[in-house]
Amino acid sequence: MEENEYIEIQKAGNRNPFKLPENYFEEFAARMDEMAADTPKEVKRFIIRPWMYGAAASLAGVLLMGQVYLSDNKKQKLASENYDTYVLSQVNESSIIDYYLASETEK
Amino acid sequence: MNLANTSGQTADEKAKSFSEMVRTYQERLYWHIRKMVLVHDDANDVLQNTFMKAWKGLDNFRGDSQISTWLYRIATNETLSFLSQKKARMMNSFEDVEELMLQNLQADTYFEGDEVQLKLQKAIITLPEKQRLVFNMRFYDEMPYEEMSKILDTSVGALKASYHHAARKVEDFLIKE
Repeated sequence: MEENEYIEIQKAGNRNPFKLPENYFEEFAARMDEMAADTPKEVKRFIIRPWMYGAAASLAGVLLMGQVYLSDNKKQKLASENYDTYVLSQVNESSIIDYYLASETEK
Repeated sequence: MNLANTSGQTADEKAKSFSEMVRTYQERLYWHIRKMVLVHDDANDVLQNTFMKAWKGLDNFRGDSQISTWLYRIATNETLSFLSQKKARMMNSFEDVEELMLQNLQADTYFEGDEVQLKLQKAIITLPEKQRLVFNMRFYDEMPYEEMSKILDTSVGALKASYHHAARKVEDFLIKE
């Protein structure tokens, strides 16, 4: 201890007052060896391999193409629905009824 | 002993490195723990938990710090968590944890201190846990402040101040008793 001001502490001294069972450390180390043998370590590290880059790029490509195809289909469907609605909106209601009745009479 | 990079080692090589590590550090860590928990059986449990944690975390040890620093940190954390669990269990009891620890120490067949050393233990146990750690590491183990700083992740200045506060309290206790 570097300080001289702690007289009572110095009198007591820093001798280790504890003791151990006989052969404690030998037996403890043997127990730890057993523990390590019973629970072997498995190395489970995720390593990125070169082929994984190719696989990831292919998957991204397939997803992208699928997305493009689906959105294109949807656009076409929407366009056709919009055209039908537009044509009907340009015809007045009585013309539609006349057309309907005329076609019924012909039958 | 090659622990800086165990990821490439086989299971047998890892077990061998671990075995060497236990044999090299068990004694130092045991005394570090024992001075905090006082009783041999408790020290044995905490030391066992320390090495089990080290075994589980062996792959995460990258060698940035020294093995001894890494192990001391685990041992210190295990000791403090053991003491706080003990305190939590005692919450509903009328007994004081420190008082109980002293009683256990006196009854422990593995304590061979005389009256003066028992009095010193009584004084040390009155300190807050972190101050007690610093006091023990400096007073008993004569560990350099720089090494303590790495283990406890505290500046050298703060450790010096903490040690002197602790020593002052212990000295006052010994004078009064």
